[in-house]
Amino acid sequence: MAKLLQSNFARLWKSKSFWVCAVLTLALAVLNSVELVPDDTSWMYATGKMMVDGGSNSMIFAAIFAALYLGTDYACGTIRNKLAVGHSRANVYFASLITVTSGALLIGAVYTIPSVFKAIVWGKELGVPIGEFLLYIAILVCAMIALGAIFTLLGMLITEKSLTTTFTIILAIVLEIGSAVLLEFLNQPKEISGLEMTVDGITVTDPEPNPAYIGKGLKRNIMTAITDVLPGGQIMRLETGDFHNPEFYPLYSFGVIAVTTAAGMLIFRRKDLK
Amino acid sequence: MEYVLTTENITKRYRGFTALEGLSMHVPKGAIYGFVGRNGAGKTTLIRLICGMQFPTSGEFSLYGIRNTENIGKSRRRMGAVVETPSLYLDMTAVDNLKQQYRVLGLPSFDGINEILKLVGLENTGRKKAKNFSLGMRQRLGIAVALCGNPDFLILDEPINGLDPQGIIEIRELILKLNRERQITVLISSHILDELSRLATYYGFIDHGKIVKEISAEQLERECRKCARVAVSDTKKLATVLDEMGLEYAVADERTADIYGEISITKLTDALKSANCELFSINERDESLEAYFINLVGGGENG
Repeated sequence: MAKLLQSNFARLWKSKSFWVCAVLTLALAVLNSVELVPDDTSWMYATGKMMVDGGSNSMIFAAIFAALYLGTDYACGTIRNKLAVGHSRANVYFASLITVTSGALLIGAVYTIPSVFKAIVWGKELGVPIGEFLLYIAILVCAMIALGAIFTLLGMLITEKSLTTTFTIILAIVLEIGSAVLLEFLNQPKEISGLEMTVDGITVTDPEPNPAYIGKGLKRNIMTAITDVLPGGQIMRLETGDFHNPEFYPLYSFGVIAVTTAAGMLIFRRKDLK
Repeated sequence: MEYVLTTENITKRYRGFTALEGLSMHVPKGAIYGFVGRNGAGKTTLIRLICGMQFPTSGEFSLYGIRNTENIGKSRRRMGAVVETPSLYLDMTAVDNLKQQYRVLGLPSFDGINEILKLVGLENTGRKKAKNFSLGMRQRLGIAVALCGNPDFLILDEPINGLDPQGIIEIRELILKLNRERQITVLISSHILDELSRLATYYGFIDHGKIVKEISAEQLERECRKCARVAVSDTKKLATVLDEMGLEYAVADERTADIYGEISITKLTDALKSANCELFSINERDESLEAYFINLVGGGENG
């Protein structure tokens, strides 16, 4: 597998899709680093949060890179060169997994460059204790690796490059936006204050039950589990600062990595390739 | 005889379709094996199985004596293949494509890349990317990639498809050079029989997923010569008569033989009558490779 990794990484450094996605991510990071509320010391505007926002802001770019990188091997037929000289299906899959997750992590890491610059040059603080910040970084890294494993599953099983790209991007959007929507529902207050606008002005009425509130029960548990376990949900929780036993998140991500890799390997090992 | 590749009753079924059915073949070491069949006969399917891209439904094959059910990866290390279309990174130059394959093979340095490119006539492509190559250049680059790591078995799946006459000649001369100078065994599949006849030292004819016949080029040439196939009551008596007449012949079985060269039917008939040998039929045969192939597989369907 070392030979395949060497070959894959050599191709990664030459990959246009990788560099374009990295540059676009950096551009987005620079734009987002402009401090609109420079004196706000809350987590929402902290330098540390800027770094972990790399997950949500680079997810789509990581998906595009993964799809194009893996799709090239099928489109060009170069996967045949690896199998014909004796590399096993397992080695080909794992080498692709490692390369794609590395590329996704690098793209995510690019996002942190402006924040790191601000922290070092302008002495901006993280916004949270260092231990907590390191936990968030661990969550982010594991979530990005889990995303890479999911993208690898799609890229290795779908042999049409255009289909891989389409499905991967759609999946990234669904994971990100779907998680954001679920969190929005989960964070609905139990009651909402009534505001009435009349000809005499605005009056405050008694709080009323929020129809959008999801109470304790199966529905809330499922929605919570989805946002806790899936990498998209974890990344969105990092963005909102709304956590639910975050110390377990890396374990959930390892579970996602294990399941997707096992499923992908199982199918890829017996897949008829053209 | 030593064989590089043997297959034993290989069957490959897809959903509702059988591509290979009990296919057995033998590729001798040092040969240029012409794998001949119509479109859809199963040539590419078999090549995909050998290259590890697909798996047989049943049956086995061996590469250098190692079965596909064992650790065949090591045997594959000794082969190179171009399956259907050349497998190239189109955004890379010729040199970069070969460097990629060197890395895949784990070769310690990039020594030999220039020699391989010179061998296939692509030493002057410079920074031109593969996507800007002509079809003939891509075919040659595909062969160059297959030659990385000094394989001694080369599989070429229809390498001359789509090439102009000059390109066909170049590929042919390259294959002959590789076989003669480097003793590389070549398995080349094609349905262009005229071109194969200039290359192959062995033939395997495939039809509907089965090997119909395997034959050496010498035997094929004998079978394709102009001859008269006679059916007689006793080929031993026929042989005696033909020896006396000084005619070249080959006995096919107890009752049939092929007589080469020009013969006088009248003299032959008289001589057989004197030897108490009945002559049942005489048919003249004048086969081209195409005619031989069509007679072998039947000419009804259009491939």
